[in-house]
Amino acid sequence: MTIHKIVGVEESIEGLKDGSSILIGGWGPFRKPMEIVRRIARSTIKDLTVLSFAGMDLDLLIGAGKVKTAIFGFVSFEGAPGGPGNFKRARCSGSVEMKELSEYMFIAQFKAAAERLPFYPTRSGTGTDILTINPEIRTIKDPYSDETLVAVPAFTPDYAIIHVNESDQLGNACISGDPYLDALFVRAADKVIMSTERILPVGKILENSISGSWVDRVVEAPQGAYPGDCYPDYGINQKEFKRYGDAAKDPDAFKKYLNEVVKGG
Amino acid sequence: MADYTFNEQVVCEIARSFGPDDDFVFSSTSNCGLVGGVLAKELYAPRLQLSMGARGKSAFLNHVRYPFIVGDPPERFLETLINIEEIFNLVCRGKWCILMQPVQLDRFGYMNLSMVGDIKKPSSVFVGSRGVPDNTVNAPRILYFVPAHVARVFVKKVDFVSGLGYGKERKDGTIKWGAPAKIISNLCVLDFEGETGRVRLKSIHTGVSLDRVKENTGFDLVIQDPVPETDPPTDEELHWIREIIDPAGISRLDFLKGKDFTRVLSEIMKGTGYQTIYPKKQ
Repeated sequence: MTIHKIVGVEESIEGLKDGSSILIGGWGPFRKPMEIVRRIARSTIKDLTVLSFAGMDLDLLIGAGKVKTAIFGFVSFEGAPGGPGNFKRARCSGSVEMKELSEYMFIAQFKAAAERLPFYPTRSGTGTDILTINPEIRTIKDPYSDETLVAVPAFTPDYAIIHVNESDQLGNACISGDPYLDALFVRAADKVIMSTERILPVGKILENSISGSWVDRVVEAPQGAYPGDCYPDYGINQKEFKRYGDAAKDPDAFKKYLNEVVKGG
Repeated sequence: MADYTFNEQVVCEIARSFGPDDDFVFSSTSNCGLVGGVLAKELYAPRLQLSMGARGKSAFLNHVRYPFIVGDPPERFLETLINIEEIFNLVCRGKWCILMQPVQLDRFGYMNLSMVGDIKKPSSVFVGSRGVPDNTVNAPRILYFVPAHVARVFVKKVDFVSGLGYGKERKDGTIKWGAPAKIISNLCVLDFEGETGRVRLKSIHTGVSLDRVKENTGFDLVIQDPVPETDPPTDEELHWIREIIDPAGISRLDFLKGKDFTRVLSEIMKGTGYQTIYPKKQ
């Protein structure tokens, strides 16, 4: 019996509900699954926990009123024009619960989840206010040397959502640029939604970045990371980033932007 | 002694932070750091590996000559490409040295990259602590660069601790690595007093008064008497910077904002920057 995992953008987020947790792949403005992020922004789902090395993805979902908790290793457009205005406003006002982690602590929680361990030990975070604002993160004594380490608790997201350059219908996928942490993210999550620039026949992706074992749904989405970058298929759309950044500075302007760009399309 | 500009002084101080035994990667978030890294590799620390974004990944670069756009280094400079995961491998094993620009830095070298104001309701927020908590427990050496030395940056106590300075974690031996070694600003060079861990005025750049440094620092520095003067760039360093590594003067960009930044950047991109800052070579 032949199976395939291909779904359309509309049904790609089936099962996602109020209060779900989603881990978004990519890095800042790079190779973000923006087509699916916009699909979530158009939905009626709310109170999401969003985990991301974030750029426009998290900012857009905050601006669309979808986020209850943001867990991030950073929030930055990494030199692309504009900036995360919705995130900044939400952090200053306290309207979204903000769990800032260091980059490595962000990774560590998924290393633990991917190996079904309760926590991952690290020195990262020691002595910093990352531990002050995340009081649930505890320390642990090394049973061998008595050294005190930070025990980053495992986080198993309901969904990981990533974007790749090429995939077959089974989810064997190739990422041409930096895979960032996507190969770890898919191993940490319960379900994986993957959009791809192109779908290739089975047997054509022999050197994969992500094997199909991890992938539940494959969505064909050319330009799926727009207006961000998907190396080497396309770069950042500077004009659209600037337009976004200008709109994100002001709640009313952003509402208009959402209606025109996200919901209108 | 040759005439020089303060961005050249900063570049030289960055380069002099490295030596022949330094066998690790140096990465930087500033133009002065990029130029200073190359100068270090050419003159002082040949084993240093220089890294920046390239071709949708990150790269190690060799014998770099500026200017070019970050992320798009010409082929001849590429040693190899690496992924972000490899960067974290290097960070965790203590082979990743970084020069960062703090939002705030306090009298014991604790660093803030996250927010200003109340920790629950900040008045302004930045990108987040990012890799600072990782680097300040792991790195072979941490360097800080402050292009505008003002009391808003050098505060008594940081509003949010992103990175460790010299406090109890280091004193009680919990954290062995990732100590800040040097802070380089447009006015002076700072380091740390051995016993107390307090920020010390190591040297002051030529032409800068002690009062100016004090007025622009929000805490009492450890001050030596007399205050040493920062060694000015040597003729050899200036030759390498001006004639070979950075003839267009990209290191100027770190000190400019708004229209001035745009103007100088466009000069550099047109290749005319050289004439506007240095006298033409006879």
